[in-house]
Amino acid sequence: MNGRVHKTLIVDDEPLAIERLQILCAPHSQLRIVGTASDGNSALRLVEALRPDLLLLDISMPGLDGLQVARACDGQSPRPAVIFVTACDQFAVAAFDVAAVDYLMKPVTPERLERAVDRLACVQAAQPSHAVPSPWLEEFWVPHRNEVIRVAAADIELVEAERDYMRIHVGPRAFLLHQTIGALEQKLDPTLFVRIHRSTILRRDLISAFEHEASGSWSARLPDGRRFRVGATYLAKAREMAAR
Amino acid sequence: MMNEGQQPRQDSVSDSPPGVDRRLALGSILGFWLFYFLTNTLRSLLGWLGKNQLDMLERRAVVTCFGIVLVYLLYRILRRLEGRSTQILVGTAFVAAIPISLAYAALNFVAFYVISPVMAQHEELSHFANHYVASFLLIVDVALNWYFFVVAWAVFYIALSYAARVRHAERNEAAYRAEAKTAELRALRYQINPHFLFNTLNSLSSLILCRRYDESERMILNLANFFRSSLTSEPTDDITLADEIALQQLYLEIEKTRFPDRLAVKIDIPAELGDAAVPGFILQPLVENAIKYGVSRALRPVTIGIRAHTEADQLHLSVEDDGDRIEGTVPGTGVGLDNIRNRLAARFGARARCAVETGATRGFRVDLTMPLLRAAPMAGQ
Repeated sequence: MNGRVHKTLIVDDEPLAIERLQILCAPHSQLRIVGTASDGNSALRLVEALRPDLLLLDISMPGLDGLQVARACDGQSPRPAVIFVTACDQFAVAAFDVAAVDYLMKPVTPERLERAVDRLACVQAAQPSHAVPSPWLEEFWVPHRNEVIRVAAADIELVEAERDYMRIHVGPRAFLLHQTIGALEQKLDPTLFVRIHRSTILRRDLISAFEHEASGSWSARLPDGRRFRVGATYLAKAREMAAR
Repeated sequence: MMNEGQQPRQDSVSDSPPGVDRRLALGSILGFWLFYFLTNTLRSLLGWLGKNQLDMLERRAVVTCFGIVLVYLLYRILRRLEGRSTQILVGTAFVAAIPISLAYAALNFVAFYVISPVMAQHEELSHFANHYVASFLLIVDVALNWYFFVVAWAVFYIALSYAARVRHAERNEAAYRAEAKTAELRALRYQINPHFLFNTLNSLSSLILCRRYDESERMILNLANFFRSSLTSEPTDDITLADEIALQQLYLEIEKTRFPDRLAVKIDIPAELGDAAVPGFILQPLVENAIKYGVSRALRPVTIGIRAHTEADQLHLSVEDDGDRIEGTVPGTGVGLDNIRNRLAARFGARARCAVETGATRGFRVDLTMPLLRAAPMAGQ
């Protein structure tokens, strides 16, 4: 175990849940609990007063919820790191773009907490706190089986819209996210991704060619031979890419 | 647990093809021809069709039999086209009616003019110079008259067929809806609120880590009791009010472990209403909502009250909480309340009601009104 000691604030509206996290944190010498709060408003007051480096943050709470607390902390300098601790993955979807070090599911296992603490050290080593954050989405959280896992935006290969949902393909895996493709498009770096159809976003470096179909429409070809049709309103962008 | 005795009721969905009942179709053919036979006999009785009543009656009977056979052929043709569009059926009927009426007219000609024609008919023919042309014109003339008769029957049959199809579709639709409703009830019943489950397990784990074993034990027993009751009872069964309240107390006791400082419970059920029959778990969505919107979002203690009383043979049940009003939510529009309204309507029709009342700044109350039924004492209880 390496690194500095994190001043930690535990926020949960259930007293037993706070107790449990206190017990779980006790063996970790890097975590020093400086306070606990049982709702979002008092959490913000304690953030102000105690200047913690880390929040173990429940999401579903009276008053301000965990997501609102995390967003309110964005103004803080330095911003405390956030590890969400919640019972339901439904919030992960709503909060897929809220910057968080990790996303833990209740009841949290000691091993999982340890991984989160390790990750905290990695993130802080890699990212000096004065770095200017990118305006584009760099990572997000998706529910997967009994976990919420982190996906780097740059690993996305293909996004397909399915009604109110979208399916995000990352290597051999696909995640279903309850978000519109338009909302995601606005958050993805346009130098890395291109929307070629009402229901398709592709990573630019994966497009090996644009092909003119016999039917008169255009389609984008991937190295594995898959083809995706280019929508009429997205043709200009495709031509621009093909011209390069 | 989901697949015991829960086969979908296939028999309630009619699989027989939609179509006119065979007996009804044949009956309509006979009816049409009987109508012709009777009206023409009546006309001849009134003296318009000349003498020889008995002789004419026989001929008419024979011709009618042929007519029945011919229209039966038309029926077989239309029957083969069952399920096609009404336009196709009508078009076919209009075309097929042409040879059928011609055939009928020819038979009619043979019966009345060729086989020992009576005087009147004989004279009719003798006006014409060419016998064959005359016969042909006469047959066409009769066919034209009968064409409308045949088409009238065909249209009548197509109308019957259309009605049968509509009825079939309606029946299937109703059966399908009933199936969907039962499935939905089941799904709602078996749907365990994940938020409740995982938070409860989290509290339980905490109790164990804190070595509060007696409380852990009680919580495990409460959970087991609650889940067994909710998973094993039939979603459409009634239970006694006493049992229903006991279930809700179990649930509230579990929640009390999660919210020790924020949840207070007040239950006021007159003892004589303990054996009143209520749909099982009818209060569950209300109590769950009171926790979700009243208690878990409040920064202060909230009291959940469950009350019952009777008034004019009606049972009144209410669940209320004194939590704060939440901005941006419209009370009484949730899935839970819809579920309750549907269940009450399915069980009691218009005799049950579900009314929502909200305070100006705090408080939420749902009143259920239903007929007061006493649960039949069950064997062994």
